[in-house]
Amino acid sequence: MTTLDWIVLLVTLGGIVVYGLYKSRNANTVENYLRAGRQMPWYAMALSIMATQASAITFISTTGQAYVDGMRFVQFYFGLPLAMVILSATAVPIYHRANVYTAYEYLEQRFDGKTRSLVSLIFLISRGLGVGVALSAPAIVLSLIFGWSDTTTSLVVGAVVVAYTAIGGVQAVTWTDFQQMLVMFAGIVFAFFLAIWLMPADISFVDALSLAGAAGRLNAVTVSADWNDRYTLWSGLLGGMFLALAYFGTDQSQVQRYLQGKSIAHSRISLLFNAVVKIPFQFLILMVGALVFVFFIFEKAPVLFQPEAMRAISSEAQAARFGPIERRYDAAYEARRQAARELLAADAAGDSSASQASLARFQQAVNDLTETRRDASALAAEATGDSGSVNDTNYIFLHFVTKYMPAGIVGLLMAAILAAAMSTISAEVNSLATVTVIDIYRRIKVGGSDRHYLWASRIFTLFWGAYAVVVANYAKTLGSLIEVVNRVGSLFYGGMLGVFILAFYMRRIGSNAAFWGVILGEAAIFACNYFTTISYLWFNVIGCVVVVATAWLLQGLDRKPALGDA
Amino acid sequence: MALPSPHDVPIPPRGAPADDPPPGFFGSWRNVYVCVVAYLALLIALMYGFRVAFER
Repeated sequence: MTTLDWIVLLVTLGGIVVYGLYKSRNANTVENYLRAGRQMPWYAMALSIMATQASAITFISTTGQAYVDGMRFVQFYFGLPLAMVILSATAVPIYHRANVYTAYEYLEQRFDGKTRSLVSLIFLISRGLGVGVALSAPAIVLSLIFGWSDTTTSLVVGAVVVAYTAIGGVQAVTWTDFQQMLVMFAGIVFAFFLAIWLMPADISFVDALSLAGAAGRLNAVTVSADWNDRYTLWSGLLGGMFLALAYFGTDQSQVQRYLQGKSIAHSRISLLFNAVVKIPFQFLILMVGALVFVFFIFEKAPVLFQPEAMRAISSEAQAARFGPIERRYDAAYEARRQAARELLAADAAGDSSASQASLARFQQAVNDLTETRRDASALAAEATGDSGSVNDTNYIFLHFVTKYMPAGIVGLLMAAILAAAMSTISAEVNSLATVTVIDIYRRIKVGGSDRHYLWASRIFTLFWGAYAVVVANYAKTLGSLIEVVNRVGSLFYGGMLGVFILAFYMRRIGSNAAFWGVILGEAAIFACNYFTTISYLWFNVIGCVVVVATAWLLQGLDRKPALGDA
Repeated sequence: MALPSPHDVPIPPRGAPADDPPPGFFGSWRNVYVCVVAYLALLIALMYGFRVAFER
């Protein structure tokens, strides 16, 4: 990074933090600190919700995902608008009228204290692990760019985030999220236009799309009914809807965003804004990845993008094994570049038989290159002795940005990636502190003053921030970080979604049935995890169904009318 | 005490509380939701068309 990049990076992020603290200068009561006095406008909440979901690893992984696998990952978000409509119609008015600080506080109103405590603890365990991984993932990647150690990177990012979150509370989190999301939008729009601008002069945008399409990188919608295919239209609509319902409806890190709304209408619009904007935003990020793929048809990329892996396989010790892989790679790259040129020329001339022939050669070369990169990855894993190392996919966009983008823009894009990390971590630390104070501490230490709980909130923010930094240092040994996050989340989301479905939609279910439903639902999920080979992606659905079915059966056996029944 | 649930708190298409008016010209929240779902269908159709137009 050049001096100009550092200036852009520091001024952008520093300005955001100062702005967030300025906007939160009245955070001197628990109400203002944890719920912004319920005066937050919809546009701040809308971008805060979006920024909380968009973590750094999502930002850099998604572009890499399009490079290696095409744009079909966008289907993962197809269920999100449906979930937003359901939550706007049901959860938002319920939470608002219950006048709660946390989603779990509502469970005591609807069921009882033990159900609230149980679900609060489940949230603290799952999100507590998640926030460490959320800090660790970008630290591992960015440490290579900044030349710092992983620990230093997570300490610096963690300290800045915890400082403004502890001082300004939810208002600082929301207003910094708002600005951070604008930086992310700006970053990805710049990346999109620069990716087109950096193409060879004779390659138009339509030519680039044509080559990306020929390589299967524009597969935004796949209608196959293959259950083993993770991203299809159907899994996106159904699985994505369940996941979004759980995440946006029961996870305090998201619920807290829209609990601060000026009114029910403001909170609803903030969710519906995400329903409208999220898919085009993800589409744009994936499109950048597809364009980066086309860019590297004409500009030779390294065999692997991850610098450490590349160093490991290029060493003297691996020369005998890497040599043949490198020669295959060079030949496949040259064949792909030539075939791409011939394909575009044949298309322009309207020669369909020449076009078909060069298309076949182009697709063959694309497959050969993929195969060569796979062999190089396997060699790197063997050479480093670390099969759980960060996937090469995460380094593709970073390589493109740092090697080819002009000075200043690199700083802006690094600011966008760091903003994505900070927005997620701040919301998570803030929600963990809120649940600890409201759902646990305030019920143990009854009758404290407002000032007492305000300071308790600040201290618990510091505690969870320190915890995140410590967990981040261990998280890198846990294997694939994205998989760790998803797996940990899947162990708990099914139970949480199940109990909220009981609370919102099944008024006959009473507290005991709900409590034991959650216990048995979680037991079922853990049994599936340890004793079966079922993919963890199904745990949400299994847990949710077991909670609802068990509670319904237990309530039927009990025969006693539940709360709410006259 | 009966607590709020969707059964108790229906979506108010008309005569909504003062703090909960639907945005602008939509008329009711129900219309807003229908528009969001229609928009999702349109997005999926456009993306499918995009794929078909460029994939070989």
